[in-house]
Amino acid sequence: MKTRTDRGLLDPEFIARLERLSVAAKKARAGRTKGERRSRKRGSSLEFADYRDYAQGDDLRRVDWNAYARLDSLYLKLFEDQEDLTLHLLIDASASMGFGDPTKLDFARRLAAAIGYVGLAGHDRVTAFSIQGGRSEYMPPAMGKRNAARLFAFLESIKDGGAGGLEEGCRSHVARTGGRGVTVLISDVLEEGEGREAIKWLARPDADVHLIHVLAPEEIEPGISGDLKLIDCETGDATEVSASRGLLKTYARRLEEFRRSVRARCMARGVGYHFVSSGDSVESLTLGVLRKSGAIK
Amino acid sequence: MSPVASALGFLSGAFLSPAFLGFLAAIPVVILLYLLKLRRTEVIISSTMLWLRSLEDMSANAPFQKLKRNLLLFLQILALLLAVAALSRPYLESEGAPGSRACILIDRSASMSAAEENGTRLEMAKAMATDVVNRAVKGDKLMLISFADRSEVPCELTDDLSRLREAIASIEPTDARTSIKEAVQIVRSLSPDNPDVPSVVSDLEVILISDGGIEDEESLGELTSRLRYLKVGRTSDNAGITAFSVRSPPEGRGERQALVTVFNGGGTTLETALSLYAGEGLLSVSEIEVGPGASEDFIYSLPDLGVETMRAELDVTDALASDNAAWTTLSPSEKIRVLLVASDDSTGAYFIRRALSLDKRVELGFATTSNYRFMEPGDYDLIVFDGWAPQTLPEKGGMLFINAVPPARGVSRAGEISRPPALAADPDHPLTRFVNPTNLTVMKAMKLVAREGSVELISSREGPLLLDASEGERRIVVVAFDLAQSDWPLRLSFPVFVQNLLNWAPGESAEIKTTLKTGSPLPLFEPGAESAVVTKPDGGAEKVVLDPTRPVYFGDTDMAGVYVADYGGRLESFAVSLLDKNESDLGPADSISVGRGERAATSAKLTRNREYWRALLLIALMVLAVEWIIYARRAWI
Repeated sequence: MKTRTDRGLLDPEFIARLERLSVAAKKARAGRTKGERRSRKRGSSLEFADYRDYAQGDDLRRVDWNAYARLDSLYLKLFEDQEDLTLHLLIDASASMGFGDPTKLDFARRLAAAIGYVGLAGHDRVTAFSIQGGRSEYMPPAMGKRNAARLFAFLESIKDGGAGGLEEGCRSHVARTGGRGVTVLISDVLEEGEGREAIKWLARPDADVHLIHVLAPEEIEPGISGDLKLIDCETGDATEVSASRGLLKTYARRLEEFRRSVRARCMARGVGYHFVSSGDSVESLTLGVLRKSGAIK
Repeated sequence: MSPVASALGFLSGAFLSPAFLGFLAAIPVVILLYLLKLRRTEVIISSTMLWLRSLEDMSANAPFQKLKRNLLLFLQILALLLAVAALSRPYLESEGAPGSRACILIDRSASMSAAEENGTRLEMAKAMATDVVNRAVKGDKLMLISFADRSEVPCELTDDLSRLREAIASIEPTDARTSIKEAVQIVRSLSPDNPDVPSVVSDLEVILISDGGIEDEESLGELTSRLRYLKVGRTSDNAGITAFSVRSPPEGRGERQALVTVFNGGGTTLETALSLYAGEGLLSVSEIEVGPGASEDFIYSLPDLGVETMRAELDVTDALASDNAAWTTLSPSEKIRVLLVASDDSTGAYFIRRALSLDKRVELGFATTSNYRFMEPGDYDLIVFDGWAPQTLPEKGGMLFINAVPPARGVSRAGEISRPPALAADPDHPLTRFVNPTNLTVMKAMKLVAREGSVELISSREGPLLLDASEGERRIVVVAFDLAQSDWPLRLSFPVFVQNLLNWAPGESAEIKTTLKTGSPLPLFEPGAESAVVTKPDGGAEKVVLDPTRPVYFGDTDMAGVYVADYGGRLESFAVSLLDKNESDLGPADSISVGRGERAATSAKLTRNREYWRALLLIALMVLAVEWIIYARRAWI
């Protein structure tokens, strides 16, 4: 398996280190088990979670009789569900992701592979979803390290192209999978609305959502010069600019505003926001930033 | 004048080559190029979203941004404007020195000898010229031309200012007329528009120092150089003799008639004495009176003393002395040779012979129609054919045909006219001056058909009675009737006509020697003589080598007076006088016309046109550099 994953996505040493990590899911678990609705998967866990008052109709087998003996009132002993976690990897594969060196999409693939491998290794269900205007690809859930090759193959098959569709992709993803679990969206969010709708769809009370905002170094610090006609690869719109110090300054300010805006939308919806440059190393990112921010533990 | 024309006129005052302003039409081209030039490099990027926002930011202060956007264009147009302005050679007038290449023309004609408060006009002109030279700066080149009736170049174009000063000092006055044509030709030969010479001097400024009164000032219009006219002199207080001629009157033996024209340029009536001398002897003195600004003719009858030269002298002391005396020579040999060719049966010949013999100048020869062919027509000034015409006409000279048709082109006979009443005569023609044909009775006359160009002198209803059919050097007069068939010989108008004919027929050659104007060359010729010594009025003598076959001309006649040529025995006198009203009329001209318009006299203060096209070009270059830097740095959108 190591030899198979060696084909450019992740290198073996890194994979070995990934095995020690697991995907963190805070809301996903808490929400599920604390609810009064019956869970389809209960009881299998032995991990104590909480007590609550007995209510009529509760399973008497779950009453804590020791507590009844001491306190003379009925309490139900609640256990954590040992529910398998679903990790959704959403990869924006619009044409704009094909930029940068290495391309943002390439970067996204490797990052997704790393996170996905962490999920697989932690016996989480891992699905992958490439978002492309009009033609999104879906990888059905997979579990266990043995499915890593399948995940990697799917990721490698993603081709950039098409325009936008981030919102639509996210919506169809939620519609298909329910959106519960941990969702990691890797995108450059370079479209009007700054991913507001996409985040809205993804953000649910019972889901841990992380947006990994990836931009190419060229986009963070454009090195353009001269009188240029910039053509949007997705819309084909042309914008005439004459590079100047003032313009670059304005661009930098606009970029910062853009990042803050996306971040603010994420915060408002409880979505984790991670800004990365496609020039960074996936390894340090996975082991560093994501870990520190609590997306991976 | 249209606004455009007046604007151009204004521009031509500030630019030397306003035609180059036409290059302003290049501005739209720059704008077009600017529009075309901005073919931006196309770059495909991930998203233009952020760029669009940045641009929105940038255009928040739009008016200023637009200005900046076009800054390069403005700079280019500015550079072009400057370059066009530089091409048009703008100048600023600044007081002081002449242009860097200047030609000083100094008038040294007779009128420049006029005395002013500070010496003569020529001295003033020389002082002005020296002043011009003194103001020249290093690197300036000047040349000097002095002109009267002829022009000289005392100093060619040089930057050696001391040589120029010496050359100015060496200019001598003359008693000659003022003609600038030669000087103009000299200047033009230096000008770059002369196709024969490679551009010698571009941008030559001509400084004309004169008192005006230039006979041929319109030739200044041929100059393409800038012309500056510095006026010399103020006074117009001068009287002078502007015409002096002496001739023998036709009637009266041993008498001479002198005509003196006196011009008074002063502001008051001139009352003075006019003296006439024959040789050195005083002939007459008379009181004359000439009104201010007027010319008066005075005619004197004098005894013929057989002397060759006469002098008229005004007893005045005025600004110009050289026109207070005039000289003339008399030609004792002044004869008019006339050949009368009459058919044997002509009765009118008697009358014509009587009329001709009235004039003392006439040497009359006779020929019959049969022996005419043995005569030499070239020996005669006038040939009278009475009732007969030869087959061929003499090459030149005067010819009178009486009742005969000359074999000249275009004159033919078309029948007869009976008793034609004579109508008016042409009073302006020299032949019919004072001839009154009224009451002239003619029994019968030829009906003449004349070609175009001939002049009917006396006409009747059916054809001319007296015809001037001159062609080329043949001066042909035709009387269309037999004198015996009319009463004309009995009338007073007949001898007047014959007298007119005698004066007219020989042409102008008769008067050629009597009075020469200053500067005119003296024709020296003596068969057999190899050299002559010419004594000038101031006593100086000059030896001239002669040509035995044709006249040699002696040109150094700038001084008025009597020139005597000694051919080794025979003496010949030539009277040279100023006799030019242009020169005697001293009032300096405030402006001179230069063909295309007037050029007003500039004040004695010289201004110099300082061209600043170099500075403009430099600024244009700097603007271009700034434009390039801005373009290279792309500091603005």
